[in-house]
Amino acid sequence: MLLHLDQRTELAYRALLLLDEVDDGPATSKDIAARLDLSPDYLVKVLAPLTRAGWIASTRGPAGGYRLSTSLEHLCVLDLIEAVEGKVDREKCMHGDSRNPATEVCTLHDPWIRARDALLTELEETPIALAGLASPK
Amino acid sequence: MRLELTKKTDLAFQALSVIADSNGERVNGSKLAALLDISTQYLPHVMAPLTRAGWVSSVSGPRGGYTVTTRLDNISLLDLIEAVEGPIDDSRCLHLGPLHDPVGDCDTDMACALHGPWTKARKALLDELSATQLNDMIVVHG
Repeated sequence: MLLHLDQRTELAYRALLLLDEVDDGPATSKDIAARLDLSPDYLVKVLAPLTRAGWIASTRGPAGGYRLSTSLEHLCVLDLIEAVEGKVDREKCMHGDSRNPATEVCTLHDPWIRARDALLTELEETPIALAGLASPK
Repeated sequence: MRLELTKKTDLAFQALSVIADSNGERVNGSKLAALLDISTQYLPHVMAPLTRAGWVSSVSGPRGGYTVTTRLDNISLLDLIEAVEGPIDDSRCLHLGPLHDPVGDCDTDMACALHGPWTKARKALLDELSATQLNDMIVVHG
């Protein structure tokens, strides 16, 4: 069970940092794609969850492009991961388990939830703005 | 994002609990399958990682069955999960690897942008799992 992030999550994170640095109007998708070394088509897929979350906004036209519409200080790394990869189902321990977690739990429930919470808490406590500075313990 | 175990891991743990609770007696495969509420055909799939890890031995034949060959306080929940589901940490953060290094490890020389927080969070999970011994989780079966 490899614990990996989706590559799009890392790209979305770098796109947010890049937009945070831009202070002279919106960044064009061509610029962002070039900076992230992506095709324009793939960039659209990377940015879609950020637009959906309301963190970036786009404007059309010759002077159009993308800009941040929130402060990165308000976002944690878990927000980013869940925006791109979907919400973590905190009630569920096992893949494909159809039991109702409120009434019947698996035998690994408590220790697994404790371990998963330790991971999620770390991600919740790391603001996106500081993520690049966080170093492994 | 899915942070879930497979049912097979839960079944493997239940199997270990039953066998460890049998006071050294061999536990017959049919009885074990019935206790776990799985088919006798599926049971070997559940038991294979446990025998491969050297925690359980099996004897075939009419008087055969499974016995535990180690103490459960020597096995952590991390050991069990990795025995059944494979390693959790392969030194990479991203599913496809960072773009600039699609085949290499995500180490500090060539790290992806989320390396710091992800490594720290994954370590928190691994520390919890490795600090939990299976004998502390045993539920006695009837």
